[in-house]
Amino acid sequence: MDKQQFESFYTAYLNRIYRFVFYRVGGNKELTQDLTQEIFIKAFEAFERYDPTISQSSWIYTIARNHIINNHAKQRPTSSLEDIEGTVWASRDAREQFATHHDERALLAAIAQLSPEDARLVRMKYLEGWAFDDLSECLEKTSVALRVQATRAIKKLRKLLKDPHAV
Amino acid sequence: MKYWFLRYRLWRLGRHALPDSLFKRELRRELQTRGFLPVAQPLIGKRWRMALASTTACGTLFAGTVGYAWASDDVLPDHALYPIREEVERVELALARTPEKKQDIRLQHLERRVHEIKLMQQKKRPVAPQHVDRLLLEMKAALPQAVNRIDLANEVEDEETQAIRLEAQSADEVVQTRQAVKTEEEREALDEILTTKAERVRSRVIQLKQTRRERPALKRGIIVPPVVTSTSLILSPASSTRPVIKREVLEKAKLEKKSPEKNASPKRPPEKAFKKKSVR
Repeated sequence: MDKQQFESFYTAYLNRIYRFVFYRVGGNKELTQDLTQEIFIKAFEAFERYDPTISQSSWIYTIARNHIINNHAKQRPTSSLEDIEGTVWASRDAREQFATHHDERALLAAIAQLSPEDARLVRMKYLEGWAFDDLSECLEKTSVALRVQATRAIKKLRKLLKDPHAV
Repeated sequence: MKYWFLRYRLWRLGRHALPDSLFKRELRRELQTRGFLPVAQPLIGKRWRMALASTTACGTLFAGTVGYAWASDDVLPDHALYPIREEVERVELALARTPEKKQDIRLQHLERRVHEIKLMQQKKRPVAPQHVDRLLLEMKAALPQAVNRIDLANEVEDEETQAIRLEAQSADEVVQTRQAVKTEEEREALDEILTTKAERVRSRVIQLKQTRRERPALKRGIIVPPVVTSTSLILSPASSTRPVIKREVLEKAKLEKKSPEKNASPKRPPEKAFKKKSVR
């Protein structure tokens, strides 16, 4: 197994996976660090079985997603990632933890008011830093469709920030 | 709200979730320990690092030794590190670009030699003849050089420069006497006279330089003495330019004042009348 290859993969995806986990564990830094380490250990162990036809971003996304669900399943057995995200983002405590400024809290509240698909896209694209090409593989949509969806989501967000009851 | 401003706010919010450098370092170390990541090779190999470390250590030691030899009062002419001080002084003189700078440095060296001999006398260390010769050499080297080309060409010296040269000549005589003297007491007494003369030469040279700086220095012609300048100002106070007078004429005027009969200029032969040639 090529360590150099894994190192370049690790360097490319560390920040993205960390942020992905961070926004799905309620902003808990210690839990985020533990889960990130476990995800990369799992990724290294599965690296030999990695199929190059699948993109690296969707592969690591799947590992991270399943690991977070398994972690939450210990506390709540019947939960999906969407449920987890919905709970986390909807809670005021999480927003308090994420944001230090009032305008940032308002922004998070506005994101939570978007539809689940739009909210997920806005978070993954603008908060977690995924590229449209990587997102198209993870979310199984074309890159063009995602760009259009993102533009519409941003417009809705602007309206919500002006008037929280607009949408 | 502008689109770009909203994008900026989202970007700023996203920055909260970035991992800190401590965590990154710890995680990397953990994965390297487990063998998942390769251990980073140092940029410089072990042998090169050893060579660099030893070169740095030697360089520091050398610089420290040179600094000590240069600055310490313990390093006197009979000290083992004294040759290093001499070399540093030679380099210092060689690096000086202008003659004025060189003369300043020579004066500093002269002061140093005087200080060294005084310290040796205080510490009751014998002053060897070569140490005294060195002092004399520094004294001669520190003597004022000609300020401009006219002085050099005409070998004219003013009174101050002459006095300093006489002082140096008498120091030379003192050194010669010292070589002939047998008792230590007499030698010490002569050393004191010599250091006094060296200090006097140094202070007079500094005074001379001060005086020359105050006088206007011209690229062409010669330095105008103050008397003539004030006279010219009386005649034409509005004039901003100073007259240039040849030194030969000035010296002649001085001599004429002292003895007008002796220095009377010889009569010129009568000029022959110019005859026009007739054009045919």
